[in-house]
Amino acid sequence: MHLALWQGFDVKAAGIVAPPPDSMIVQHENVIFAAAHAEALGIPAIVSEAGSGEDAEINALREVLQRAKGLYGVEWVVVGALASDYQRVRFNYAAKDVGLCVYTPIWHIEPKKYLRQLVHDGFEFIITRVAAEGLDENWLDRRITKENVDELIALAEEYSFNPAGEGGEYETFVVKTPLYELDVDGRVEGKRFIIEGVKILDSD
Amino acid sequence: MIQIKNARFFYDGKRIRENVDVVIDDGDNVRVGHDKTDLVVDGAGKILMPAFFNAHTHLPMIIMRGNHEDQYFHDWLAGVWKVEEKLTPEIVYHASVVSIAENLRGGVTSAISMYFFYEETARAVEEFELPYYVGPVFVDDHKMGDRVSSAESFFRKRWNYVIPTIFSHAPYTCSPETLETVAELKEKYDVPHQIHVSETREEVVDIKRKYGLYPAEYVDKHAPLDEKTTLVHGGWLTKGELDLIARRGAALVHCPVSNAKLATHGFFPWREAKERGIRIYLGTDSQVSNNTQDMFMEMRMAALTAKNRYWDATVAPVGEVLSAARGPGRMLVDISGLRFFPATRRSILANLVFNGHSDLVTHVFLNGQQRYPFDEVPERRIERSKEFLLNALTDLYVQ
Repeated sequence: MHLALWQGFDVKAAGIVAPPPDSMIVQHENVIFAAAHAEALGIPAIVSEAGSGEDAEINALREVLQRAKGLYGVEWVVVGALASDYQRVRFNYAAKDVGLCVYTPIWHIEPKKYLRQLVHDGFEFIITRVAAEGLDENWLDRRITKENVDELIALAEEYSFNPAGEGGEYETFVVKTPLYELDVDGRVEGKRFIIEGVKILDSD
Repeated sequence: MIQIKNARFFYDGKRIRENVDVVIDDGDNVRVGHDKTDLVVDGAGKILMPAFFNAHTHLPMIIMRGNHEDQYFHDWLAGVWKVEEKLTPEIVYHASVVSIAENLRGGVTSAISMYFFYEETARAVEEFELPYYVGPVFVDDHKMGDRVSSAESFFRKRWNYVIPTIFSHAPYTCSPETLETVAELKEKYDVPHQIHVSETREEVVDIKRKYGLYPAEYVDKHAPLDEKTTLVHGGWLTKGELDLIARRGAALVHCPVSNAKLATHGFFPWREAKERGIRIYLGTDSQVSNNTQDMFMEMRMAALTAKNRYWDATVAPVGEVLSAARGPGRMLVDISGLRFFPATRRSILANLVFNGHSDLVTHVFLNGQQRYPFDEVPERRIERSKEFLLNALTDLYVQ
């Protein structure tokens, strides 16, 4: 979404699909709090809850896109797919049905390069779920910045998981962008960090 | 046998030598030195380098160039098909002549051309004495029996230059039965197979929904991929399909200019294909979707789009794109102009990729013979065909 903003797109709305825990298409963890990002940017969030299974998720996605098109005249949907063909193709299923173009600005970018570029550009995120060997509970709620991103990358190399967590090796929540910062409250529960509240600290 | 005197550079595909005399023998072998030859060509201010292979074109479509612009892919295709209904074998022959001539003067000595009335294109290819891949194109149609028998006659014929090839148009125009017919003929006559695959989003979504398979998987199921199969476009291929293509030893043909012009909005997986050891060739596609058959342009576009899309200037380096465009024979390219300055051993290849164009090709050699500039006979043939086409075009478009 930030890339779309920087590239001059008129960003109209944020689409959020709240999927079941076993989703193959989008993140489940704390996804409802993504609406805070839309609020910080001053754009509406369109939320749809998905049932279990591929068809149910595509239906929910289609509904979000249909509403975005109907309510705000949206023509494109920006998708942050990095390497998951499954995700990219399913978004295109739904977008084709609705008549939207899909823009995947970070598609196939080398994951270490992408991660370093992200923190270099001023993004910071916390890890909210760990699901890969080598990533233990100590990483939960840990803020990843340009100072410590190489530690995460080194671990990914040592344990052979995708450094950008593209395969669900870890889930994240962005807490700082070049435009605003979020304060996140929550608690660690097993291998998860459950977000309980998000406050917008600073918005341009 | 040809003697090139004092070539400023000689690039053999691996190393570059400067200010050398080179001999090209009848088997297209080159060596630095001198010999008694039939022809001596001055190489001053020029680079002698491998000629080009245009791995995907539709030669006769040259007559539609510039007449189907600024349209959505499927509208564009519908417009092209409408004109094609009016084409005659004679038009296709003359269009093939002019199109082969254009390729040759741009350094292309071999190409893969997918088009109907392929016997006419083959006739033109034989006259030009070039190793072009030509043959029957299969799509779903009610005259399948006729199509098969014509294809068999074509494959049984003894060709001096044509490399008989079978084509299937695309997953969205070829049913499982059509692809299986293609596979049978391919196996029976041991010919190469080319097909458009994963060119647009519509194709991927529709094929996956209809057959439960991605386009390359669908083709493989009914016309198994192998080393003699080339898949054209591939901008929407998934990594699972790339694994399959790598296992089968099939190759990809990248047509970056056509993809950009028709806004197919894919992402050609240059890096992922290279990582899997998949061969990549470059093709111009038709002159209606390019609109040139300039392989310099194709190399440049392949490099630029890959670097930009991957956010990585090291992807699709100069050596890789040159290799993807390499064909049989040699050509001389005039590098004396300012656009090649500085022309040094270090800079020359990058300057060719990022600054070259087909009009700079001064000579093309194949099998120890000069093929461009044209001799009198092909020159007359080309002029005759141009004249014929200008009249025919009036009937095609001014109605």
